[in-house]
Amino acid sequence: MNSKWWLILKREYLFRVKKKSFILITLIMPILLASFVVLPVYLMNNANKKTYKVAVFDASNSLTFSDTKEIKFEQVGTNNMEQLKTQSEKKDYDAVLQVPKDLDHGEAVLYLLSDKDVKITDLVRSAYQQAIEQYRFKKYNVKPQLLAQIKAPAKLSVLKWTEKGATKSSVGVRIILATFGAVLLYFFMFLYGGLAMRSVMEEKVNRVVELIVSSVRPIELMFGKILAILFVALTQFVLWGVLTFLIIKSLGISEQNSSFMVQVNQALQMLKHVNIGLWIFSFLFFFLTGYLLYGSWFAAIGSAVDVETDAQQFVFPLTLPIIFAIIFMQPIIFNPDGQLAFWLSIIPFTSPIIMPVRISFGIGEAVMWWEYILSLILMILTVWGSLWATAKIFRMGILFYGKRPSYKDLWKWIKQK
Amino acid sequence: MSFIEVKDLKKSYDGHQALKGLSLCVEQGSIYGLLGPNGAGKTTFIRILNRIIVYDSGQIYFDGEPLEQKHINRIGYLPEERGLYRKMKVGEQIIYFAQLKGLTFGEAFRRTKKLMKKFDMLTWWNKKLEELSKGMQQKVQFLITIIHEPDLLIFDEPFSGFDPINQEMLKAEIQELNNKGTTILFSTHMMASVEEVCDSILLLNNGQKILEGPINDVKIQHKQNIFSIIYQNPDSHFVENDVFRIKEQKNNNYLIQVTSGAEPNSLLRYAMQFGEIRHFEEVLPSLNEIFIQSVQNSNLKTVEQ
Repeated sequence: MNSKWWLILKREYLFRVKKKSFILITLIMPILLASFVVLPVYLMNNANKKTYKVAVFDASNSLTFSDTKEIKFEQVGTNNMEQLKTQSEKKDYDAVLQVPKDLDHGEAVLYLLSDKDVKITDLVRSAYQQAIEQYRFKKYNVKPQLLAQIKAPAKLSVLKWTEKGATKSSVGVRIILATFGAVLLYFFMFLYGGLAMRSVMEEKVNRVVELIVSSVRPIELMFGKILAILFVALTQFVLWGVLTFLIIKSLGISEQNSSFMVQVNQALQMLKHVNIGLWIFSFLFFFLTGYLLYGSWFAAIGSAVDVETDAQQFVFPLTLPIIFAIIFMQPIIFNPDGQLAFWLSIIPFTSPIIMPVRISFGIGEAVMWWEYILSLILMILTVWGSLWATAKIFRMGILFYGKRPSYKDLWKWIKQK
Repeated sequence: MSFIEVKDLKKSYDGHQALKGLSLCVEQGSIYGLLGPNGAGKTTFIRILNRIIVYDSGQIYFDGEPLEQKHINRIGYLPEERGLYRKMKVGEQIIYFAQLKGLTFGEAFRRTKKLMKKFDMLTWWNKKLEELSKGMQQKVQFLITIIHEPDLLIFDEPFSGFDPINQEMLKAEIQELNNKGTTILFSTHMMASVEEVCDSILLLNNGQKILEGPINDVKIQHKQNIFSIIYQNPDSHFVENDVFRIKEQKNNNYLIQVTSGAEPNSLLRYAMQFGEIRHFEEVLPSLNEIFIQSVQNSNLKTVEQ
């Protein structure tokens, strides 16, 4: 392929992915993402290697504390607080627990050397609770097994009626899917649409653009650029995914020791109940058309202005629908077949975010087929019309210097043959 | 044979008519000057030739064929507002623009190497453009204009922004390309800069042609019957009469205005009686004078209408 738009695309793509900022963001993001997953697990596994030692002065003389890996209790005969404090300072004990004589009305006291020992407070509190419970079992003559039987969870299974009979409800995973898709689409249209705008503006401002359009058609320049940034975005996403996965893997967080991974597996099991093929198709469809829609308008804005501040007045109304959609995402998740959900998933400027949200809750359930098809058709028509109109703005805009164009000017450019 | 032929070209923006039916012919292998004040429509015309903007009506022929997109690979264009990618390396950048003009990578690479060698720029190959001085950047820009060996070179205000050394290099190089058969189109409002190089000129004002033709014809058409006479002897003095008026005098150096249709020889015969003549010449107006006069006349006409 050696056509001219391909040359434009190649140069733009290579320039963007070789930029320091691209490399930096590509590397930092996975580290952040991985640390969200890894850090809590890592801390849980490694932070409490230490075993705390607690001195217990039991005035009631009727409690038994059970030692664990994390905490050990040592009964002491003395109630001499001065002596116990000195021993604490000498690191013989990490804390001192004073149990009252009257267990039913009295209050136990935990003595610490520092406020920062949050962990030990928690451990002692639960150990003390346990010891007290055992004391009460004995006192009221209750068998612990009996209580366990009483407190055993009442089982409730949520089922959904479908044509194939009742199946397990998967509303949890659907919410995750909806949110994940919407946020990703939001970032994609916002950040990379904005990048398309700046990329066009850069060439206009440094005046290289006249030389380029004397070699290629303006429309080839515009599409070359928009597509290049699409590929930059895809590259970045793929790298983020792969790097995050590699980091998590290399830190040795395997499935057994991570509750997160268990949750992920459960969610993956639940995905079986979602029409994931349709969801992926919808996501990719709106990903592509949404980017083309916003990317082309952002590029047109970039062509029409020559200072960043002038761009703001056009960018604000353009981003309004995206912001609107993301604000209403939450209510729509809880009511995916309401009026608001319907309209926002039909109107092309909000549908790229809202339709994938609704699709997460099932076609034929939250979304009717006719609504879905209507939304797709309207989106395709709008993208087609936008590409046509923005190409016209672009053609006039890139050679327009000096004053800031008005909306009237843009309209005139679109109407020109 | 005409290389560029334009017939009744019209273009308006938003109610303002930038070109009001322009017709012109640029001969194959000539150097053509498109002159006119700012806002005359020069850049509009040049952008139309480069197919950057579309025109409303009229015809344009390029080397005998109606102008199409395929022809732009045969045009080299140096815009008035120049700019390149500041962060791109020089060699890479020249190759890129050559490819945009339709060369294959291999051919673009070979020619870039050859030209950079010729202009003694090979050491800049791996430097980013922003690391070069302004003069060096101008040389790179010029190289990009000619790298694809176009049949037509278009220069919009070529001498503005170039330092004197590069201006000379530019002129010499343009002359050399012209000798090889490249047709050259200059667009400028600085008459003096093109007077010595152009074969033909066209004067444009308010989107209309005011005058055109080979540069000497234009000058003769606008001559004002002024002659320069220099006497050998500092003491020789010209005495004016009704026909031969002194327009300017500096010692024995006279500018004589001939008022009626008298022949140059009769002036010479008349002048000889006052002393030995060392120098006798008809003074033709400079392009600048013709330009200013014609533009003023045409503006006056527009006002009267």
